[in-house]
Amino acid sequence: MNTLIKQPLFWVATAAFLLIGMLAILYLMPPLLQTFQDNRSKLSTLDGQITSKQSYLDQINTLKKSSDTLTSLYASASQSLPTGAQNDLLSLQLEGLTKSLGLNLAITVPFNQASTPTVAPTTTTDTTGTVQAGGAANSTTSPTVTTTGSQTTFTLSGPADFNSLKTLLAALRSFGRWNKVTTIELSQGTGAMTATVTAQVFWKNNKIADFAGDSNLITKARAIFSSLKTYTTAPNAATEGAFGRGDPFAKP
Amino acid sequence: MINLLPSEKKNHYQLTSRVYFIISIYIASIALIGLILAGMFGYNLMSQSKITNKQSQLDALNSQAKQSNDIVAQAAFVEDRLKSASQYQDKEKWDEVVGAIASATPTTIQLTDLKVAADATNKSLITVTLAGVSPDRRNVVLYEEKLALNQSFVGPTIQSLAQVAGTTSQQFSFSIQFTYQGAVAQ
Repeated sequence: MNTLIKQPLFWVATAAFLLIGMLAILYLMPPLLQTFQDNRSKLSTLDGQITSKQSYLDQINTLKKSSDTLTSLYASASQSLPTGAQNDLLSLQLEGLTKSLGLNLAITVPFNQASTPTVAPTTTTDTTGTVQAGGAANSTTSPTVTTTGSQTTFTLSGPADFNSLKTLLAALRSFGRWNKVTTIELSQGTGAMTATVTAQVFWKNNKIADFAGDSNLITKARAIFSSLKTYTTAPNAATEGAFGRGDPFAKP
Repeated sequence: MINLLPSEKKNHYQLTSRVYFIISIYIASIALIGLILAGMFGYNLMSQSKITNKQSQLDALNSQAKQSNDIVAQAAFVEDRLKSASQYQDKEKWDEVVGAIASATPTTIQLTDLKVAADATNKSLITVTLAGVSPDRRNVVLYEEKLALNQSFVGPTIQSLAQVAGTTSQQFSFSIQFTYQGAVAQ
């Protein structure tokens, strides 16, 4: 070994080896390693994204095949919890509901609410719209209408016996517009029995998140929406009704 | 074999060959490091091209998804409403609740008023008030006890019980109040 130390070639070779080795390990290896790891991680992320996007697209394609069902479920979902108050449509739906049950109830739905949700709760005691089903006389009740954020309170009142009330309550459970009953009253005065049912309906104008790709969407939606009854269709001035009068003040 | 070289020269050869041996180890090590670096460089190049391919594949899938915007929007809306169902749909089966009240009513009692009202501030607090007429006091108490057997009807209490004046037969008017606890009507 002593003799080796005295060899200049040995020292030159060792210095060159150390220099090249250090350069390679310190300067070339780290960026290459970093890129190597970055690429591996990018590839794995992309693989995951492609797999999830592919399954999402498969789901979309399945939905495309049953687009009619989806459109009908979308219509039901829009009516169950609409994006605006839609009190006009609500009054028509309630009229359809009471007519289908053969009940002669006064339907009180507020029309003075803005179609966009108000932030502060407001209370009004008048200017309520009253729709009379079955051509009955106007109800004597004048309920307080409360507007709180995204909900509307409506009232159904009029002559009804116990069994009619039960039928009405059952019908409200499958009513096309989601509702929560807040008051039920049935009283027998001197004359006929009178029933009053007060309930709330809601609307929600939220930002809809992207479709998560639920593979059971149609099945789940069918389970909830297919049993709901809407009792009417939304009026369409472009396709129905007769318009145009010479003297709109004359009796039709 | 006999080495006839002088010992000095022999030692010099041995030393030189040892130096060359060490140098060759150095060269082999550097070559190995170079191979590793070249391998990594090659892999990086290859994976970069794979990344580009996969990115364009993902872009194509994204653009395919965008073409189905209408379906996606409808599906997203339905999905949102499904999530909201539990919050906005009435959980109570009110027809069954009033049916349970009817089932608990003694055959001799006639109800004249039924009122179910949720508290204005606490919606889960639902008060039920029943009023009616009975031929005797005993059936009113029985009615109260029968209602109490239903787990949904919490704390039925007779609010008033009084004989109706001026009637030919004996009649008692009464009112009973209790809280409805929900969802377990029997």
